[in-house]
Amino acid sequence: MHTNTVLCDLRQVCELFSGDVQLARELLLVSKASLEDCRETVFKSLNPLDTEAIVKTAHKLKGIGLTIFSPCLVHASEIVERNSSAVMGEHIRELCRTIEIVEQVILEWTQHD
Amino acid sequence: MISTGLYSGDGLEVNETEVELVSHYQPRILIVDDEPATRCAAKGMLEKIGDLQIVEASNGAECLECLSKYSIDVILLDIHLPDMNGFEVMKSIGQWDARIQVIFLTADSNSQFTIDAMQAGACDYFRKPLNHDQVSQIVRQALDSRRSLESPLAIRFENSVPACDPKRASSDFIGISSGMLEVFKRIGRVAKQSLSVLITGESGSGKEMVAKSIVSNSNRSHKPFAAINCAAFPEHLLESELFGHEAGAYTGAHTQRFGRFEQCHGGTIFLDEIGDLPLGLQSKFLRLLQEQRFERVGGNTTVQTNVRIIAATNRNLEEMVAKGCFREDLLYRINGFRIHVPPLRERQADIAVLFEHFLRLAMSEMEKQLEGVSRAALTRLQDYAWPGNIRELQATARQAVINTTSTVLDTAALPSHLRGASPQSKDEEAIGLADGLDNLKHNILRDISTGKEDVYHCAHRELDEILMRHALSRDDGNLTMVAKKLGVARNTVRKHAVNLGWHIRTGRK
Repeated sequence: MHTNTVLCDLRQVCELFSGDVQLARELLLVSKASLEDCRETVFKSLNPLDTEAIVKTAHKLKGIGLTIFSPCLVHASEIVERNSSAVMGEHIRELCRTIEIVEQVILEWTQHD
Repeated sequence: MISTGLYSGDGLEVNETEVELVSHYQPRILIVDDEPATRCAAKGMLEKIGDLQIVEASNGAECLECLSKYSIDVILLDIHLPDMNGFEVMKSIGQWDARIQVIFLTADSNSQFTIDAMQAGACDYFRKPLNHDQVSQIVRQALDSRRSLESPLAIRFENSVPACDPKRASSDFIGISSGMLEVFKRIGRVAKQSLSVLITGESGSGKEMVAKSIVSNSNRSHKPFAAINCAAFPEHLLESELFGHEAGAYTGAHTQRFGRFEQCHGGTIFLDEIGDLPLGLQSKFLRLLQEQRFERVGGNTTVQTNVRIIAATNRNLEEMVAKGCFREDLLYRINGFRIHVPPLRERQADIAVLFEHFLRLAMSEMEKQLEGVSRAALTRLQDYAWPGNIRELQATARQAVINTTSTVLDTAALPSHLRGASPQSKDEEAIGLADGLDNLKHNILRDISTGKEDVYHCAHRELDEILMRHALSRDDGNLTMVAKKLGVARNTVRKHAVNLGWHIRTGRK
C-alpha cells in the first residue's frame, strides 16, 4: 500500500460544517454512494478496457477524496488519472482496494455514532 | 396567521384586512457539480453561512435551465462537467446575466486553470478540499458584489461617452472642488505674466500639472520648456545640467555643453523639488533669477538668457530658511506668485471625477468596459486620506480595473487597505440617503453637460429608487406605513419594492 495512509480525516469533515456531525454524516453517506457508483464504473470499464471512462472516473474519485479529506484516495486516483493505459492495470486494482477501504471506514463511522 | 411565499407577480389579491410586509431579499446560490458529494459539502457549508436559498445542478444543461427558472445571484461552478466545459457554461451565464457572480470549483492543482478562470471573468476560484472559512469569506464577497450591482451606481459610464485618449489625458487638468477652482483662478491670473511662480503642495498632488497648465496658457507656450527634478541629480551634475559646462571643466567634460537655462532661452523651466537645491547652487541660481545672467561651469564668459522659472516643492521653505537650509533672498525671488495645490483629502469633491477620469484611461488602455462604480466603493475612496494624493488615486484606479470581475467596480476590487469598513460614527442610513442624493446631483449635472436627452426621466427614476429604498429600510418593509409617509398609493410602493428585489410576504391581521 502507498505511503499516504490517512484513510479519511473525519475531524476535518466535521470542521467543514463547524462541527455539525449530522451534516458530516450526510456528506459521508452521499460520498459512500458515489464511491460505490465509481467503483462499479471502473469495473465495467475494465473489460473491454475503456481508458477514457476510467480516467474520468479517477478524476471524480479525486474530487470525492478531496471533499472527504481522504489523501490515500486522492493519491490512488491521481496515479490512475496520470498514467497511460499500458501500466494502468495494477494502479486500477490499487484504486479499487482503496475505494473499498474508504467505504468501509465511512460505513463504520456512520454506523458507530 | 402569517403565510409566507415568494411573490408571483400577478394574481395575488390583498384585501383591506391584510397586512403586507416586504422583507430583505434572500440570495440564491446555484451549485453546479456532477459529483453529489461536492454538492452536499458545499450545500452544508452554505447553510451554515446564513439565510440563503440553495439550488443544485449536476451538469451544464441543468445549470442553464436553472437560470431560466430562478433568479440566481452566485454560482459555484465545477470546471469539469459531464456535458460541457465549465468555461463554456460561464460564457452562457455571462450572456444570460452578466451580474451573476461565478466562483469556479475544481480538484485540479494546475495553475493554468486558475489563470484561465480569472481571465474568463470568474469572481473567484476554489480548489478542493473546500474550507469553511474560505467558502464563507468568498461567498459573502460575491454576494456583496452581486448586491452592489443592484444598487444605483455612484459613477456610471455611458457607452455613448467616448473613452479617454491616453495621449490627450496628460493635458486634462481635472477638479471641481473649491480648492481646485482657486488653483485654476490663480493659474489664469499669472499665466500671461513673466513672474516666477512657486507651486507648493504634497507629493503627488499635481504640482507638475499646474506648471504645465501655466506654460500652456502663457505667451511662452510655443517656446522651449524643460522640467528638472532638483532632487534627482548630485550637486555637480545638477549645476552642469542647469548651467552647462565648458570643455575640460571637469573629468569627462570633453566638449562644451549648453545647460537648460541656455537651451530654454525665451521659454520656461520647471524646477521640481526646489527645496532640494544644494546651498552651493542657490547663490548662482539667485543671480540668474535677478539678472538672467550666468557662467557655464568652468567658463568665464557670461551668458545672457531669458527664462521664466516655475518652481515647486513639497517642503516648507520658510522653515528651511529659519533652519539655514534655504536662502531667504532666493525664497523671496522665486515666491513672485504662489499657488498652493491642496492635498486630495481636502478636495473630496474631486475624488469621484478624478477616479472616473482615471478609470476611463485604464479601461481604454486595458480594453475593458465597466458599467460604473458602486456607491459603497466610492464611499471607501472618499473616506480614505490619500497620503499619495492623485498619484495614489490613479494607481488605485488601474488596480481596481484589473481586479474587477463584473461590470460594476465594487469594494472587492479596491486594494486591501481601502476595503476596510467605513467609519461607523455616522448614521449609516443618513449616509446612504446622502450618498444617493449626492450621486443623483452628480449624475444630473453630468447628463445635462453631456447633452443627454432623457435627463428628466433618468433623474426621476433614480430619485424614486433612492427614496423607496430609504423608506423601506426605515419602516422595515411595512408597505402601508411607507405609502402613508410618502403620500403615495400602497401599490406604488409595492411595485417599487419588487423592482428593488424585496420579497413580499402577506398575512391577515
